[in-house]
Amino acid sequence: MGDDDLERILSNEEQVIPSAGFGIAVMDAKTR
Amino acid sequence: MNAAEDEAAVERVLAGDTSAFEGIVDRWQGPLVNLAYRFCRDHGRAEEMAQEAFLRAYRSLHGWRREAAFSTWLFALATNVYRSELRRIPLRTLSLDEIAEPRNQRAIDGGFEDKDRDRSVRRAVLALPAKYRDALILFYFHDMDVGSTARSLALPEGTVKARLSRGREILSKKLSQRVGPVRLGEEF
Repeated sequence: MGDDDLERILSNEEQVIPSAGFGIAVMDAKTR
Repeated sequence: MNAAEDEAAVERVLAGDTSAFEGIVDRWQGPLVNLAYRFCRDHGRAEEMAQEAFLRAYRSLHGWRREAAFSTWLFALATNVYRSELRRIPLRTLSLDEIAEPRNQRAIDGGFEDKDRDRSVRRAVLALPAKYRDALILFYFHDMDVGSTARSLALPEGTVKARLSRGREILSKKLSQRVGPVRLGEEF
């Protein structure tokens, strides 16, 4: 595998979407 | 991202309006979960790690010095949290077959199984020694910006460049080899 392949693969990540309840879970956790 | 909104939200939280932290979570949950995911490749654990980073940020808001952007401070804090979490609970063991290049040459030349190969390469980054792993993860997370990477890692840019170079070298060499199991989080 060449450097160009590595560069291309590592620079093209799919975005992960946080779960729908993630923000609420964080706000709940900070009050505990 | 709007720096003024972040600053206003921080001021409100520090003034006692803790609900204002929700705006910070809304704006930064995507980046923080994505960064965490790159450190562990597990969606559930990424959210746990990102939640811990937000909680740490909430408790440390008074420590944000205004000379750096809020995002710079937040990414540096999150990076520290993620690295600590991986030291506390290392990633599970994977065989080299799971993280190395596919055996089937057609996967490389013919294009099918490309996603498997790409996934393997990304997971292989996690098996690098931590200092190279961290540099590579942050560098690509920050769209290949060395300055942002250096600020997230609290390192000089020259050190980051050296670690990127060495990390790529190890990665490239090891991906072309197939010897024995590799434990993620440990050195190749």
